[in-house]
Amino acid sequence: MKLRTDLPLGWRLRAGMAALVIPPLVHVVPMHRLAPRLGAAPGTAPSGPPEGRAAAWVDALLERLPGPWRHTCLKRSAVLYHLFRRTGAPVELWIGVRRGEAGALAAHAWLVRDGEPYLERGEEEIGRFAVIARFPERAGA
Amino acid sequence: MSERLRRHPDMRLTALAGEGVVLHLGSRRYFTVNETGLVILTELENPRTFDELVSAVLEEFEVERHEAEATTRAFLTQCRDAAVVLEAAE
Repeated sequence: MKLRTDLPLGWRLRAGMAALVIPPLVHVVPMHRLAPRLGAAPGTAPSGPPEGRAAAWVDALLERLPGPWRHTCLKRSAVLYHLFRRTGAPVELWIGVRRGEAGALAAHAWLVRDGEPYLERGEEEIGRFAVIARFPERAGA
Repeated sequence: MSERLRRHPDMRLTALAGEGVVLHLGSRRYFTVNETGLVILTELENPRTFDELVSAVLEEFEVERHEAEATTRAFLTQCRDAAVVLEAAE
């Protein structure tokens, strides 16, 4: 199955590399230790095309990959957090929890920019989550 | 029990409709704790002794001391088993 995108080659390579390397790390490194490394060196990658296209490319990649790369909200958010922080974009990664319709506890991870959900499907649902962790972590949080 | 306890650094806590939700970033597990657990874990943001935790429970709930001690002891045992709470370094 061919992945179609009009994303520039440099961005495709950068996103592809991040999508290969970061998801397995999410399995073994606690996010509060991984996030500072993912967000390191802000501004060292060039600003890219509209970030929505990069997010769609990462979604498409992760949805096609197996096992430790399989698409989850946390892996998606971690990959995009890395890519966008490297361009200097002040994105944050938030994790929240809520009770679902049937009463089951559910968790979700998403990106935030300027205090608002960013590149997130179903943004209206996000307000129902109680935030339990956010990265970069704030001093004293 | 004079040792000081604290939250595990991998642990995060939030309140959700009167109960607490614990997220362990290391295991990526999350679970709820009751109101008493929420009080105890909130206290453990800073190192606390067992007696200090019992005092916090007594301040928050109308219970007898022996009941507060038993509840706190049982909760802390579960928390240690789940790697949510550990001994604070001196």
